[in-house]
Amino acid sequence: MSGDVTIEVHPEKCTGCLICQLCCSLIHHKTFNPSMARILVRLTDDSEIIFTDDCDKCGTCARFCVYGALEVKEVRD
Amino acid sequence: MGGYAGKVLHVDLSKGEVEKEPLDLELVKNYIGGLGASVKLAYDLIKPGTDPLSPENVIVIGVGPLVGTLAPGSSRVCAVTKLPANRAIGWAGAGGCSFGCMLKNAGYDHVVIRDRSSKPVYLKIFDDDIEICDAEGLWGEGVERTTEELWKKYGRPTGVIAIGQAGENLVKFSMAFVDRTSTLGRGGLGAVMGSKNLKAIVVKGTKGVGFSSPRFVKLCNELLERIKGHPRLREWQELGLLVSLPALPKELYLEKLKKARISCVSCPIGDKDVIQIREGRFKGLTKFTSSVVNTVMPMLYGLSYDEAIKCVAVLDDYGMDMFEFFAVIKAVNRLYDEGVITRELLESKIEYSYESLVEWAERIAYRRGFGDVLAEGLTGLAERFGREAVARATSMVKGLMAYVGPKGPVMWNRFGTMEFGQLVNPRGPHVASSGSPTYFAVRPLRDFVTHLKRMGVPDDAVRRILPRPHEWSCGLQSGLVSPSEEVGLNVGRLTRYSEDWFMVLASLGVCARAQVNRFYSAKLAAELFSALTGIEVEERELMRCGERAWNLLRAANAREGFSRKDDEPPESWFAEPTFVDYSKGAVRITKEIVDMLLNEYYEERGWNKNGVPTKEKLLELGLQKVVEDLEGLGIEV
Repeated sequence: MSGDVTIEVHPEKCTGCLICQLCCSLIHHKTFNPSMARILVRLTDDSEIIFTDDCDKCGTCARFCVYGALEVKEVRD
Repeated sequence: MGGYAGKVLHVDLSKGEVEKEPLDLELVKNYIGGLGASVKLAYDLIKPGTDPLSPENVIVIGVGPLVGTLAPGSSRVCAVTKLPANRAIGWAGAGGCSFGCMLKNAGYDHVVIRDRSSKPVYLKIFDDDIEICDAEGLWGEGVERTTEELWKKYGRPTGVIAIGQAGENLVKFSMAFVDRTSTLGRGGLGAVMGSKNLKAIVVKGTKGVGFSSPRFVKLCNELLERIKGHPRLREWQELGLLVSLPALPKELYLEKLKKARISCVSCPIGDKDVIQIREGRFKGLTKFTSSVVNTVMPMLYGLSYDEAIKCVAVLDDYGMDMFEFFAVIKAVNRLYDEGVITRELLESKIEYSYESLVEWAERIAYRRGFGDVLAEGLTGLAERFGREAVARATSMVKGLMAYVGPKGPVMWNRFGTMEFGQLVNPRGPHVASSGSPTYFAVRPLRDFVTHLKRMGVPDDAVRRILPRPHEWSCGLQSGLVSPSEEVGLNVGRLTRYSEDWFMVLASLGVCARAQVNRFYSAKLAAELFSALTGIEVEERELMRCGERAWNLLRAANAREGFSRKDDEPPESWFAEPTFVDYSKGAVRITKEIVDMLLNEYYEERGWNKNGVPTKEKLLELGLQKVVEDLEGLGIEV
């Protein structure tokens, strides 16, 4: 599944639920651990969402996002 | 064992020592974790008769096994301590924002805080790095600044529980705030922290939360999908609690206040608010709150919406309970009218203007002048000016205001479980623990069957909660049910199961708000618990854990001298306008009806007429030692 999508980010819709970080660590490390996630939500007055260098754009975070802050935009061939 | 961090952190603020104790398997088998296990730890650690503000009082903080996982809406942080407002052993609970998840990730299910530091400190818990840090620079600051300073220093998503000046100055109705948003500890948890010179607790962790079976992930996925597919999800996400409590017009909220919505970790609803005032004298004010509904409550006293929000922002920053603040002001004014409080003590009545209210908030928070008297809360006023006079002025139960009622401040006149639950809650009035379909809505009684089944209520109890008229003679006599109706609703008996279900959810770590927990059932909770922890339980056993913890909490308070006399309804409930019955809205709720419902509640609980768990019930729950404790104190069980 790796690398088959691009993820569009809408930080203004992010509520800081960290479901993306929980499911990222679950998929890649088999644990619920926000600190091991490859996506990081920086909770500030204006939330910032960044991906670490080892993110392989598997799209799991976006599929789990309940708020429309992450969107699977395009499926590559 | 999945779900649990596996450790209890003991902190002695006097000695400056910390100790990590392995989590006892028997504790979680009997009490699940979170609130239930915190009640058990507090029962064992807080000696009866302890002064709540003495070093001997203990604060137990707990997060349940689901906290930190993907289980939707499982961020609940709980605390148990002896409350200074009414000397009850009280539970506290809050949407944990990031605190709960971070505490679990740091490697702890519970934190037990004892004794008192000689100088202001904050407790830093970063994985194995535990430090009692100097808080001189934070002492005297409000909740907002304290939290922001700690975030500036340690970054986010660090979780913070902090108190403001009200807690520092031992205001009896001060609270703590989680991530400067959620309130924790109505009844004075803030003052207990203040008495220990504990300004804040800051947590961050990197250890992760494991699970025993992949089935847990499957169950979480299915649950999330179910929530995602709910037709009202977008509405809840957009409006939060305003959907059930339309405290201000939707247009005003959307056009003039809403800035963003915020979630606790793992919550798909996100019903906490960031609001920003767009115009007028408070233009630019940004407020983080567990709900916009709370911030506009002072509009009931004639304040404009922006004044109300600013007023609540001031109270929150001092770390003061808004409901008790308005209750003590109302009581003081009534006592003034009656001549009990004289002009020598107070020059004039307290005005319900924005300027006057924030001035009094400051006087109370810093205990200046007559503010020092108000800072003692309703109990303090009653002790000084007479219980009867204070009771006439407000709806007081166990020394705190029962805030839902026909005369407000949360205005609602149907007598459901939340309303009745304000009487029997061992910690004093707090509506979170007695939710049901009666929550701010009139629903047909047939809907209740689904809800009761969801909570795993046994069939025989369903028949007692929804009795046929001829099976409920007291209901017929009082008019709560008429012969022509198919069934009636016995709110007293239903409240027992609402409380047990609340205790299960809070012990697992699930939110108290119905928008989230409506998706859980006792059966699903048992499946999630089993798959997460590897401890196989059936729904009946899980509910039994909730019942056990609630009985232990009641017993802890029986040990403190609480009994039926403390569950008595406030006289003010029976002056017009009164509560009316839930289902028809036609029968005035009288003292006789409440007494009858209390009897039925006690009976459903297996408690004696004095509101104390019976020996039989305690033994059935495996609480032999509690029987000995109560009998040793001469309390009839």
